[in-house]
Amino acid sequence: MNDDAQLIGETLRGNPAAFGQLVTRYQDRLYNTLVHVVGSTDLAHDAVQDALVQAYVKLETFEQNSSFYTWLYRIAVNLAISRRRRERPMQSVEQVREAVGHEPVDTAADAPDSRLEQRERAGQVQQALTALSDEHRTILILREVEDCSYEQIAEMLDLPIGTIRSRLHRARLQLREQLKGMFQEDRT
Amino acid sequence: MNDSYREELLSAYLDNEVTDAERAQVEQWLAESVEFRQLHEELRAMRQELRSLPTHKLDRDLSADVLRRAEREVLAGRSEGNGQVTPRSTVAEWWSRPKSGRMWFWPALAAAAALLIALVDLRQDAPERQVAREDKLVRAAGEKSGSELYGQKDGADRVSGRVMARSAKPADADIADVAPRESMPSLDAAVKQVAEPTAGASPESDASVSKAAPSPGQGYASPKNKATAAGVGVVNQAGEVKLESNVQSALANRSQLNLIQCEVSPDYLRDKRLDKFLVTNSITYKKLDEAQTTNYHLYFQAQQLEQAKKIPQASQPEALYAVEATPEQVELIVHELDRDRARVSNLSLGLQLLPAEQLEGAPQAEAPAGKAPAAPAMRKEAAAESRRAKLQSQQPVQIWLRQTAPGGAAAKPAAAPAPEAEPVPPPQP
Repeated sequence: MNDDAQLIGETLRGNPAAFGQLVTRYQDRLYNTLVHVVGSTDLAHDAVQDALVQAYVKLETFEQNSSFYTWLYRIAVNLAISRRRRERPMQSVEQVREAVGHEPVDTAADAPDSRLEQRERAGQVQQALTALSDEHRTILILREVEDCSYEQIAEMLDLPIGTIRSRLHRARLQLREQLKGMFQEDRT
Repeated sequence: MNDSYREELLSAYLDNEVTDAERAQVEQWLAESVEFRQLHEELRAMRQELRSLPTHKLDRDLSADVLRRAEREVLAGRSEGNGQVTPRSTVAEWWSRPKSGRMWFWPALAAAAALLIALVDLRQDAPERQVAREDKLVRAAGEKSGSELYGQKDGADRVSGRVMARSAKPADADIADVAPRESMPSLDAAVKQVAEPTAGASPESDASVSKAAPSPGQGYASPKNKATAAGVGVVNQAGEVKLESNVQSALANRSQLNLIQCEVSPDYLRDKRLDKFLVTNSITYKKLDEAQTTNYHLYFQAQQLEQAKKIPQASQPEALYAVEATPEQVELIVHELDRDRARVSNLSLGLQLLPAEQLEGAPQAEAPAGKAPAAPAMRKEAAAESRRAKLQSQQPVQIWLRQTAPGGAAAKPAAAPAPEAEPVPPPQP
């Protein structure tokens, strides 16, 4: 399989199909992250497409100091958040349910009750995420769902690592506050 | 040391983004404080919840959609946000070829209001096709008696004849079934000027031509289009065309027109590929009928003659589309043709047909119908010199581009003679 740099080079030499491979490679990962960031599958879908188009158009400006995905993600997050602010300033319960999705999470062998409970918990978490600011939600998703390092997040969001660290801390405390009830239930 | 700092360090510790000293400090606090341990546990539990969120996948591959949209963005010369232009892909590849004449393309098409796309069957030059084509021209010539010939009538070895231009509007059935729904006045006008050149002729010249016209039903026109016919000019076997005076007059009033020509495989025509593309992209167009196509071709040949044969001779198109397009849409069309290289070749771009007065000043004095216009050698030379001077002092009036082959050699259109003159320099920005 071609690596990203090779595909980028081919694209820049006039072979759009090479970029098609990059799209195929990263679209699902990007989409999954954006669903959680914007809380809507529709918005995420549009944002993914927009981001990939923008990445193609601007590919010559990609200096390859970071990974292609980091660069792509940076474009995507900015587009997704601006689109979310523009189109859907308020998050509805339906959108949260939509974002929670229907797929079980590694629970193919689990009992139906367990799956239902997991879906409920996922719904609570997603709802709690929507209460966070865009900046805090994005950084949490990048860290916890995408498993990005601080350095990667700093590149994606164009922020100093110190800011990433403090912002993550505040995001966690806010989410903890939102999920206080769920954790109390767990303890009892 | 405040709680906020301790908690931030704990958060970083959870992410394994601390120094050794910070790690030791956090572990000491964990050992000392129940509350700190509880916070640690909650943050870990929260992480688990976040990592257990459902995974979402797209239900299809977006690559085709993305590339299509991206190509449009590139071709439209804009990208969201900063208006940056980054040409790429096949069009960009063509664009970047040194010999492709990229610097000529934009001046030619930037002001495109009307466009003709001529699709030439790839089998054009097969012997049987050649015979058929000549036969078609002969049929188009209609009357071939000496009294009605215009110019070459002095040898049995030279086939010449009169070409019919019809003023009758084609029946609806002549227009492609995927043609646009709306009327297109300016486009119709462009078609009329080219495929029906007598439209712009003076009443006097119309009258004079009608005397020479064959009776209805004769010649090229089909029975349903047996309306008043008028001569365009004469074409002989050598491909030489001489315009009748009324046509010359019509040329003087013609609006600017651009031409794209390419060779296509038969299935490209059969599938109506271009029609579908134009409809899909809401590009206004009209597919010319067979007679209009033939007339256009002859008209085009005449243009070569009139413009000092700078334009390589084109083949008779199998299909001709009159398109009304913005420059961005022109780019889209070019890209669509260029990308399908398995079925489309020898893409030629950017011919500009401008009003004749920009070429040679006022139209030539009309000659009586049925006689060749006087064209002494001295006058031709003077006209050529005048033309050259005008071309150097004005905007270029014609641009002919040919896509270069991968090896760098210019793709040679069928039956295309080498241009006799160097292209005119492009306009300065």
